[in-house]
Amino acid sequence: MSPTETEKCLNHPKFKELIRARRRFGLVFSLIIAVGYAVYVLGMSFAPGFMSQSPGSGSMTYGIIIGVLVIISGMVCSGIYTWRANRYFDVLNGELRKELGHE
Amino acid sequence: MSKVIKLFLGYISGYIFLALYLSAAAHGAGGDISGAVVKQPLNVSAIIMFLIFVLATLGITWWAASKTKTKDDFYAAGGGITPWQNGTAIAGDFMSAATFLGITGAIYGFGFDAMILAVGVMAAWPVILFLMAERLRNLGSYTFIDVVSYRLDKKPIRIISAIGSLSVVIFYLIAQMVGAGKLIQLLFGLDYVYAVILVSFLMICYVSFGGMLATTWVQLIKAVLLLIGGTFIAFMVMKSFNFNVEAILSSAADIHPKGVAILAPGLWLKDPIAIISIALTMMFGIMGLPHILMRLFTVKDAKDARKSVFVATTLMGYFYILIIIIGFGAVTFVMNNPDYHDAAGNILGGGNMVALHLTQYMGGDFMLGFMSAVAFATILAVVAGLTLAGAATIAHDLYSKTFKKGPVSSAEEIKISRIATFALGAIAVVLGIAFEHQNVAFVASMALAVAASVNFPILIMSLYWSNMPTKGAIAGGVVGLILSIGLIILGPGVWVSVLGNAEPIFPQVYPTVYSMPLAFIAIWVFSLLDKSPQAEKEKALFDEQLVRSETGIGISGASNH
Repeated sequence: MSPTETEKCLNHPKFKELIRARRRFGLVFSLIIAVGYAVYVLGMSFAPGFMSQSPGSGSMTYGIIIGVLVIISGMVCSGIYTWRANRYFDVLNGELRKELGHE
Repeated sequence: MSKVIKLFLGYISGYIFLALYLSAAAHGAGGDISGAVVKQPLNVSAIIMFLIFVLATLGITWWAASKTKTKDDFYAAGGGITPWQNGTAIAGDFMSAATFLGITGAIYGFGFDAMILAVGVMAAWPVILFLMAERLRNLGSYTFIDVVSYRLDKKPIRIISAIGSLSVVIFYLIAQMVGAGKLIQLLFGLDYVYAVILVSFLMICYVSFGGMLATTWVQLIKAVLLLIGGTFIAFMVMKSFNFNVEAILSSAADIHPKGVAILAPGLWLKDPIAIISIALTMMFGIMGLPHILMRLFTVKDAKDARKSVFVATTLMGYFYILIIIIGFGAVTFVMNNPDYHDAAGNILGGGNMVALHLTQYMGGDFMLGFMSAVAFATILAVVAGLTLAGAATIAHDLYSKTFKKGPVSSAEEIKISRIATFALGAIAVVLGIAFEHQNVAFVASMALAVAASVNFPILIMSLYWSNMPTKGAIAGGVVGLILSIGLIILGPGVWVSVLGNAEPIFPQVYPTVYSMPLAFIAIWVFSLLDKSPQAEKEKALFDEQLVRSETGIGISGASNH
């Protein structure tokens, strides 16, 4: 790709929108996962008392609940990201490529 | 085709010679082959099912060999793997023997603390999806090193990344081979040396003839079998407790000698630094594993790479939840059961056998045979993926792109890959035998720590930080490599356990909490210091890289390789 083509793409409004929207989406979701994981890890490290408590009268502890929630949120967030990327980012990228004369 | 057959026969005869030589050497040295592990009587149903698996996978390898003609086929299955297949294979790389046997055993022994081994993986994969997968697919062709060298000075950056990549591959191979040898000894009653040679032999067949296509299919079949088996065992555990999860946990706490402490932190990981370091190693180590990142190049485009990671994440999450149920459930059914303990009260076969004892309890000898065969298949599939990644790094990144002057033909590169595969197989046997009596847990931690401290910082910064020139990347790689390996050697894993000193110089098993941040700092400092014209040129290339990584514009051809 020539420098002028690169320049043209960088300044294209759809490219800017794609970058902005996808980065924001990816960062927010990464942050959700990172915060969940941090709560789990820091809870283990600095609040073992809380992690061993049980929300009800049973033996399920907050620690196990948070751990399983991190696993489930990983699956759910991946699903939402993929769903949105298939429906929004890919469409935007397709339009951008067409307007720039690729495909 | 006849050329391939001749090669095949040549390899086999060479291999048998090496195998005989090594086993003779091992016997000649008076080595105690069976070691600390007690060999089990021959398990007939396991052996039959394992033979079926081996025959089926060799058949697939035969088919894959006929389709593997170019280097594109060899490294990336021609980009023709579907997202479902690829996602299942990626999940398969994580549903390893270490996961199924190791994490189950660790939860059985330590309870809650061991869950971090599953949670850490599930924290890594979504982030790989959100920030890396599509961009990697758009920028590279066969290895993650293609991506980091995209805009940097190709030779030095390929060399340092290749050192990082090969270290990870070899450390992982050692851990897998020793685990394989012991497991096979336990499951099938086969001598350690023969077990290691058998694994290495099959792995060389899969990789050198079938390339990525065979490696993916072997992993895919095994992943499906393991998911079926794991689902069955977890379902039987749930059924025994009338599908009441609380009951599984309270029963485990009643039976376990540590009581309710197994449902809380503190039994395994004692201090905060240790917890944080293992947490960082798990999460960021996975983002730098070369054999995993390589699978992102086997699909046709970025969209399929994204879908594969989604499929992989979902299957892994499901499997880890099964493992948690199986681990806590095993306490109830295995811990006080005299069938699974020797006269002294020790668990038969050691902590790694817990999952298989529970399998036997729930499904009888047939199910035990099935899961034993799957556990062996798992090791084969994982070592094949590792070896292929190592061979690609040697043939593609080092031989073809760094050291060889002038263009390298596809046939020549495949030839070099096959030689590299054979060499890695032989190295795996030698190291597997050398490390037989060592505690290999530190070797696996070394692999992840190096991946987190070398590969991951270089990769993520090359994707996102336009101001990183070659010198910054190299500085980060060197600092990460020296610190991660150096601190492991000075730590309890090597300094105390292997070298026999009384006290470790560095107190932590995982160095990542220091080595990874310092690698990032080195990248940052050396990047800011480098004001050369070369650095300016590399920074200017970031725009083109950005456009290609985000849109795929600039990739030529349908398969994008």
